[in-house]
Amino acid sequence: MLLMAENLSKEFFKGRLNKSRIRAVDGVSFSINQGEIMGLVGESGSGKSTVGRLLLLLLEPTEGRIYFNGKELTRLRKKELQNLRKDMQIIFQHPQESLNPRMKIYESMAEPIRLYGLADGKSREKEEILKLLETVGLTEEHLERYPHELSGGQAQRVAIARVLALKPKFVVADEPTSMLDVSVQAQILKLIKKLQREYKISFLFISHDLEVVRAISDRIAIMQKGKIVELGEPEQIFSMPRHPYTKYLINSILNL
Amino acid sequence: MVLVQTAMENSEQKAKTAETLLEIRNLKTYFKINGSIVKAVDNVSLKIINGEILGLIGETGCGKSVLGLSILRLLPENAKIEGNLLFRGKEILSLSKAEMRKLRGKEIVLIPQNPSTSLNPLMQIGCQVLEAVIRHHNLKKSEAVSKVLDLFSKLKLQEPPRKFRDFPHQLSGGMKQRVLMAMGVACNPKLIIVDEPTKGLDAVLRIEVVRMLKETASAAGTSMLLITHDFSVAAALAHRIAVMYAGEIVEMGKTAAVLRNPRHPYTAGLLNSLPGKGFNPIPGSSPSIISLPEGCRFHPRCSRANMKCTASHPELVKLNDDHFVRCFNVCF
Ligand SMILES: Nc1ncnc2c1ncn2[C@@H]1O[C@H](COP(=O)(O)OP(=O)(O)OP(=O)(O)O)[C@@H](O)[C@H]1O
Ligand SMILES: Nc1ncnc2c1ncn2[C@@H]1O[C@H](COP(=O)(O)OP(=O)(O)O)[C@@H](O)[C@H]1O
Ligand code: SF4
Ligand SMILES: [Mg+2]
Ligand SMILES: [Mg+2]
Repeated sequence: MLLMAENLSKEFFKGRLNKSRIRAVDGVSFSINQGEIMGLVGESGSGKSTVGRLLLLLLEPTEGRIYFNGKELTRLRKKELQNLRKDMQIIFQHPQESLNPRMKIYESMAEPIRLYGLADGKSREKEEILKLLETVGLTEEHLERYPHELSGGQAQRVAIARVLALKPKFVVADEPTSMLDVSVQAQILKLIKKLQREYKISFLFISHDLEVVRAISDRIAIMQKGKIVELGEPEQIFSMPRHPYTKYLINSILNL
Repeated sequence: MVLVQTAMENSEQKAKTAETLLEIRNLKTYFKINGSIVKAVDNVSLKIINGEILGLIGETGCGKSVLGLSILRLLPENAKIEGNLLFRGKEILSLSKAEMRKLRGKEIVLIPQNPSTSLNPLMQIGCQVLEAVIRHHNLKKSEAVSKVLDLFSKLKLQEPPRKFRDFPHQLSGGMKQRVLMAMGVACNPKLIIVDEPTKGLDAVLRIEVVRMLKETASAAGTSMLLITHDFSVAAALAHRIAVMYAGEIVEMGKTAAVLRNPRHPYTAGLLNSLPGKGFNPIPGSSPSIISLPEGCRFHPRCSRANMKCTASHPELVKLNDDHFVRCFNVCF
């Protein structure tokens, strides 16, 4: 087991004088194995992204514990956590937003490499970047461009390549394809599958598209109003959904 | 649209217009940018009959939105438009500005993909929808208000009474689009052009939007041009589907025929890239409309391409009564 969440909760304060509280995540527990893709589905606002950000400690949990590689994250000292951060990364829905609009793609890709000192010297750096580009299916000609000169699918590949530079063990993919066309979506899904297979990276794959999640996940967790109401393998979830909310979601699939 | 109505009195015309609501003939919408020409819509011909929903499918940048905007002549300055746009037999391209304004919002409603500019920023959204409802239905104000609230809750705009008083800037893009949808539906137009109504929506909301469009179409007999890149949405709503690639229609036919038995390699490729079918992407990416490949525009990505495809440009040809394909080597 690579990652485990135990009774994870997050409350946000809202409204005037922070008087109202909402429990965006409410006592969530699950684990993810090495090289496993865990799908997380639910309606908009059900708490999926919040779970993703909690796992990476981009948000501080109100309650609960997170174990990564056997270590409890919330107990780690700053320095230790800093080292672990490299292993845990996130890909967002809007790739253009995760890239600096004023930086050429080369600079964007070099940034994490320099930050963690992953290549000695310029020529090693370039070598590394070209290798990453090839992995995600881009070419050298893209390096001199700015983010707005890329298509959505290409920008998402750059975002993935940046994450790959760090050789992470775990990646949260938060709706990485929901703004992309079907054919481009297929390219990105295929790439994620390849990263799982070849580099044994584990993913939390967040989506509101049940069919995408069904196709890509080893296991699926269904989330409703901050709680995981059902968790299982795709076949079992789709052929024998147990929770009424799962049935409701499955019934809302538009069949071709 | 007084002129159109007078024309309708003519019985011969009547029989004809009862059939066809909108006919587009050889439409070309080109943009000029920095000396080069962008052929966003290139020689498109299609018909929408009364009560029919035509799905327009294709990937980002292929020209779907520009086609929709062309019908209402809502194009920027640098656009040049050519061809015929016949609405109930009357040429839209020769209407005056005043006639155009009457046509928009009354006979033809556009629910745009990027809705930020279509709502009045200084007016509560509820009032904007209310205005449309009162204008088009003979309702008392209180009845109209409850109709608006009902539309809002159907579209899952949470706490309808509060949303009613919100101003456009307080809503997300998706919410604004749903407000416009409520407004468009309330107007009872003859034709709704709806651009990517489900993009980015979750499955539950998507099915609500589909339901609402379906209800509108069947209750009021409204025709629709449904612009989408989502096959399941098109399958659920459209009677016929037109597939667009790089500014051209490459396949058009009855929904079931196109989806079950796609004849154009691009349509087949798109269907194969769906997650349910093993997500096999089409190699390469859509061409830049500025520098289109010679011959068939799809040939660099096509597994069926041969010498002929690189040399000459295929025409849209009729395969059988209602199925058209632009390809030298159609799939079987
Ligand atoms: N920083 C915040 N402050 C206040 N409330 C928040 C904050 N972040 C999230 N929320 C609320 O927490 C709930 C869960 O949000 P979250 O973003 O996790 O949903 P989600 O399942 O990812 O939805 P979507 O599918 O729309 O991305 C929502 O009600 C949201 O409004
Ligand atoms: N105002 C404009 N000036 C120049 N090119 C434009 C303009 N609007 C759209 N285009 C181009 O026309 C093509 C079709 O765009 P669009 O219809 O928006 O595509 P979609 O099929 O995604 O709706 C694209 O190549 C786009 O970049
Ligand atoms: S004409 Fe040739 S290249 Fe074009 S779609 Fe048909 S087979 Fe493919
Ligand atoms: Mg989210
Ligand atoms: Mg568009």
